[in-house]
Amino acid sequence: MRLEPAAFGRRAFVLPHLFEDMQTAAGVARLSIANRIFLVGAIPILVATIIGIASVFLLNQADDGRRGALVVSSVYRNVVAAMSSRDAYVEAQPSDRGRHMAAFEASFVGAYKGLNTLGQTVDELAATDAIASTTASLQRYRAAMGELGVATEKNDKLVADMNKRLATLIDYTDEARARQHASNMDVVTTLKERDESLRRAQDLTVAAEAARASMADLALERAAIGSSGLLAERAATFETVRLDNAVNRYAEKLEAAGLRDEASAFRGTYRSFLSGGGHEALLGWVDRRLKIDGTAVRALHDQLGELLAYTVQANETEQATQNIAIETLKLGQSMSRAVATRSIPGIETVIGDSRDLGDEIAALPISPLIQTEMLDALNLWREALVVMKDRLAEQNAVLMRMNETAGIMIFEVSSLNNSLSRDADEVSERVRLILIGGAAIALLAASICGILVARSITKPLKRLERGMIDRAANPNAGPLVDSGRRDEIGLMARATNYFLAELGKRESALTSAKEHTEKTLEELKKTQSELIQAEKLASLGQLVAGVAHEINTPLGVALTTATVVGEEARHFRDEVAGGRVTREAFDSFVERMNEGARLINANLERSAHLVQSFKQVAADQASGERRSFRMDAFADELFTSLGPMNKRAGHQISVECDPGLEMVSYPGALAQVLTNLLSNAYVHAFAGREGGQVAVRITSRGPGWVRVQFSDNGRGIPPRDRPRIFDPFFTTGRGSGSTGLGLHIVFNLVTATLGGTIEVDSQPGRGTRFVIDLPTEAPEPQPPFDEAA
Amino acid sequence: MRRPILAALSAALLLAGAPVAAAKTLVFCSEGNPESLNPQLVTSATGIDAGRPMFDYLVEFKPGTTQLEPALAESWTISEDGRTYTFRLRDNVQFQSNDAFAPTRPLTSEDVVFSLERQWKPDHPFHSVGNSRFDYFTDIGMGELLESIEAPDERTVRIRLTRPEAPFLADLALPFNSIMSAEYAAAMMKAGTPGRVDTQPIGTGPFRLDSYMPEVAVRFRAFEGHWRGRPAIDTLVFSITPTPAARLTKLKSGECHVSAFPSPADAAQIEADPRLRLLKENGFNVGYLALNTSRPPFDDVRVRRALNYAIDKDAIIQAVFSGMATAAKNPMPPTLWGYDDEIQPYPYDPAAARRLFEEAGLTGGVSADLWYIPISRPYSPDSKRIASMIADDLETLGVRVDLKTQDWNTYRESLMQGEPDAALYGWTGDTADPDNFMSTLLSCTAARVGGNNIARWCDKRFDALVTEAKSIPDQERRTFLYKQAQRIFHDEAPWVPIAHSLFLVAIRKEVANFTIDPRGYHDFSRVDLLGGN
Repeated sequence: MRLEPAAFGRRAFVLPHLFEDMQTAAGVARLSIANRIFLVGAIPILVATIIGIASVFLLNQADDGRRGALVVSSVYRNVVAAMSSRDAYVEAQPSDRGRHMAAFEASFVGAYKGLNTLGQTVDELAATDAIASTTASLQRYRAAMGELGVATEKNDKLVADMNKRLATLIDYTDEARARQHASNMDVVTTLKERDESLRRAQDLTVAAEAARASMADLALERAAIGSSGLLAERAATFETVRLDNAVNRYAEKLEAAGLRDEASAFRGTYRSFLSGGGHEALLGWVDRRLKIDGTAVRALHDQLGELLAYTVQANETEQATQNIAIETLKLGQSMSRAVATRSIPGIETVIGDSRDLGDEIAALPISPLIQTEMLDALNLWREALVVMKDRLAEQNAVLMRMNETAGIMIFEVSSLNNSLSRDADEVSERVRLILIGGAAIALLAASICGILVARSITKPLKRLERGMIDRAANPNAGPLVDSGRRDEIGLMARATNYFLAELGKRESALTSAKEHTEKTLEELKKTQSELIQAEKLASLGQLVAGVAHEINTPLGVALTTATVVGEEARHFRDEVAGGRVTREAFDSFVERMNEGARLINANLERSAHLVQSFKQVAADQASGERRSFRMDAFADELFTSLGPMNKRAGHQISVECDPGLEMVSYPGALAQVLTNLLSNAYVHAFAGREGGQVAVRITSRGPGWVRVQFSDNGRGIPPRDRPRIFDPFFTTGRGSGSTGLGLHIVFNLVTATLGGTIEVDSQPGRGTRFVIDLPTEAPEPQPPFDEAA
Repeated sequence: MRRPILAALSAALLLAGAPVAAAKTLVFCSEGNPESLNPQLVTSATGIDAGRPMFDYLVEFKPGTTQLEPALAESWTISEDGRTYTFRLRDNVQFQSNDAFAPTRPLTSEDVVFSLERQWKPDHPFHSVGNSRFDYFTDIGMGELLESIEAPDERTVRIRLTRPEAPFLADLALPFNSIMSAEYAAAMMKAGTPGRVDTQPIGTGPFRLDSYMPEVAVRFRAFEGHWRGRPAIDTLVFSITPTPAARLTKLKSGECHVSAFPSPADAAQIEADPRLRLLKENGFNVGYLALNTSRPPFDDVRVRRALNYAIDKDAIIQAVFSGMATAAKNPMPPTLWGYDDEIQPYPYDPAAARRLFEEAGLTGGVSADLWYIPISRPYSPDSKRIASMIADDLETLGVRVDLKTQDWNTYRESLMQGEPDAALYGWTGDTADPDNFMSTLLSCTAARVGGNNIARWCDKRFDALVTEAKSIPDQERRTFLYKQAQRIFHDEAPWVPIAHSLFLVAIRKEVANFTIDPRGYHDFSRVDLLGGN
């Protein structure tokens, strides 16, 4: 603390060089420690700021990309909706098509708008091209849909017309059947008529044959008359009556058959036969009739046979006509199916079937009146079907084209989506890389800087330490070499030199240092870490000063004693030479010599011990090494080193330590903690009074832990200040030159470096007690970064 | 290609709403399957009827008459020696088209040359197509008559004859002289389907063939490009209905408009029906029993004469023709000039017949085939019944008669091959020229195998007379010659002439402009239907 004025006195001219010096790497070495530390602190901040700005810019870009991807996905949705609308349109009933067309239109407009929006927001060249090509595909798709719509409408009309035509064909079929049926009835009537004629002809034939038989019998009887006389004549008369009956019956039959002329001609012939004519005329007449009617019977039989065959055929035709109606209905169904599934082979099959049906119709003896119309209707229907087939083929081509376009479109939209998402991801990735990479680089840079800076600080410090130790042993070794440096080490070296030179004028230097301290205090507040470091170093200096002073006393005693012993010896030699040596005097001389030797010895031993203690403490302080030590020896050495502080105002310090406490820790840090606490007690607790008592009690606190209780009986800490005592720059003794960093450093060292806890317990007017709990094994060495801090 | 279809469709769609059959369809109930649709290949009225709607001739008969008038030839001149005929063809006469062919040019003299030369020249590429036989052409002696056929330019045809021939111009109006398309024939030859010329003919007539379904129908459509203008009806259907009773039934129910060959027995019934009309015309026909003079027993003139005595024609006319016929005594109808009415017919005299049989030594009985026509013809509405009656008559002479028949086309074929002993047959004249009967049916040329001279009767005197009569234009002289020939025919009795029937056509009242053709054909070229179907 007494070094502070010297430490910061030159700061005013160091700072302006900071930025100039930063321009070259070599300049770093010439920077002050404060600037170096500032540099170490500034690099991460600067890098972080740059990273931040870059990240914000890039993240904005990524957001744009993601918004674009969102729009693209809505475009995609719309495109897919348009495609399914198209499918629905194609599969729908004609009456429903309008609805699907409207849905398609809506989806198209949605997709088109989406693409437009995208085109306006995205300005990446590749994406703009992709959007333009997707828009073109979309328009192509819509144009094809337009074509399809027109074609489908035409087709629907054609299908409706064809169905009408088919219905007409069925009507024709029905009529054909009705006609056939009527015709069949007519045929049956004709059949009855012919049957009646046949029966009449048969009656005539039978009657004619009976008459002929009678004639033959009569002729036989007459031929017999000549030979057998009266009896035969009687029989002939009987036969004549028989013939008369037969002739009359036959004539009646002829009349009944409507052959009145024939009947009267027959009767005339018969009369002339009765009046004695020959039988040949009558017989010839009957034979002629028999020939006519007999052949008529045969002819009518044949006709009836033909008519029956015709009737059977006609009935078959009626049945077949019905079948044609059924086939026609089936044809209509097949067509509907084929058209619905847009199957060209299906339609070809239907065309073939309709041809077969046409052949079937043509091959049937259907009413020719209807047959022609049926064939015409079927032919026209088939021609329409051929047209339909071609149209469907065209439509299928359009559909295929649309599918291809849709495939391309989906692909384009997906790639657009992918590309935009990828851009966004890439940007994010870049941001992440920048963040991680930047952080890593910043960390690395800061670490390297830190290491370099720490080295640039610790090396000269060690050298300084060695120099100081050398000078402690040999004050005449000359000034420290580092005094030429422009940084704090140089200051320290110079201060040490000064200290060495001005050892005797400590008090007055302190006074003058105080003035400097006050002046630099304001700046001190601005450079926190610098000051902490400075404080650490200052405590080292304080230590050195104390040690120097302490050594001085025993050396002086030893020197004085040696002088006295020398005097005594010369005096005794004179006495012996003078022979005035008495036994008593001799004994007394020996006694004094003994005493003198013991005294010299004791003081020299003490000096050696002091130097030894200081050496360890200073080494610890300077190196910050983690090592194992015994707590009691450490406490003894430390407080021995700090002895001079006690004596200054007659304060008493009692140290009690449980024996055998083995520590693996940072003795330097622990030493500084205790030094600062002690210093704090002397400066604040015992401010303005003397004979203060400090009790340090070090006890084991279970395995692995020790407790250091540091108590004073000073004025205590007012309750309102108690929460803030560990805050940096909090001090009640600003006026007396306190920095307000002592307890802050204590707190930091205990909690961070030593891995322990510190609590304070204070009652105003009755003293303060710090309780520090420490692990016997301190945490592993901290990174150089922290150590440097 | 699409436009006409669509036009046709839309036209058809306009019609689709209308009830049945706005198009005019005339149905003709025909009596049988045509043997061919090409008139060059047919001789039966059935075949001639079927081919007729599709074709035109150089000259034709004025409907219902035997007067000639210009047709495809708009004018002609005959050289003074009567041997050179020069025809000027009508301009821009279109041929029909079908699935396989569309004409590129109108009628030219090339077509006329093709039509005649195909039948005439054995080395003509189409002469032997489809085993064609041109019987009518041959029987009428066209081959010997023609000397040359020339086509000096597209519209002129010059035909030179070997001799003057009186009926030549009338012959050109005969069905077999239908004018075919040479272009179509060439196209079909090139396509390897020359037979289509006969199965799907192309002509210049008022109707084009739509389809032919044997046993069902022949269907024709109006030919829009006919030179006389499109016919009044749209569709003409020959509904093939062999049963006369069925034809009448269909006529009555309106399923047909015109019925071929109504049975004379039904004449009274038809005349009584207010919906129907019975058209009657003295037919240019003769129905006869041809006796095969080339082999026993009918190679003996006494036997042939005996048959003429034995057959009771009056009974046949009364029973089978219901009186709608007159008994025949000559081979040609009495309505034709040159008919010799002075000839006394053989009376029905079974006793005379018996005497002649005794003279011929046929007392021990004899047997013979008697073939009857399977379908109704105008000259023979019920051939089977006639045959039965004849068989009854001959039974008294001890002749055992076997009745035989075959389907119509085979029947004719068999007759022309000279198969039967005796066969019922008949003829309807195509021209008002005795030659069409005398020469066609009884000349020595026609007595060849495959010829129309079923009796196989070749009498040199007769043949000389008819050949001479044919070659001179003087009708008086020709009449004289034909009368002489008729006497020879009467004496030699190669036939038993039976009847000249009335030619009957039954039509419905709504049929207009149907003119009965005395030749026994049915002509629909001018027919219309009143008040729709």
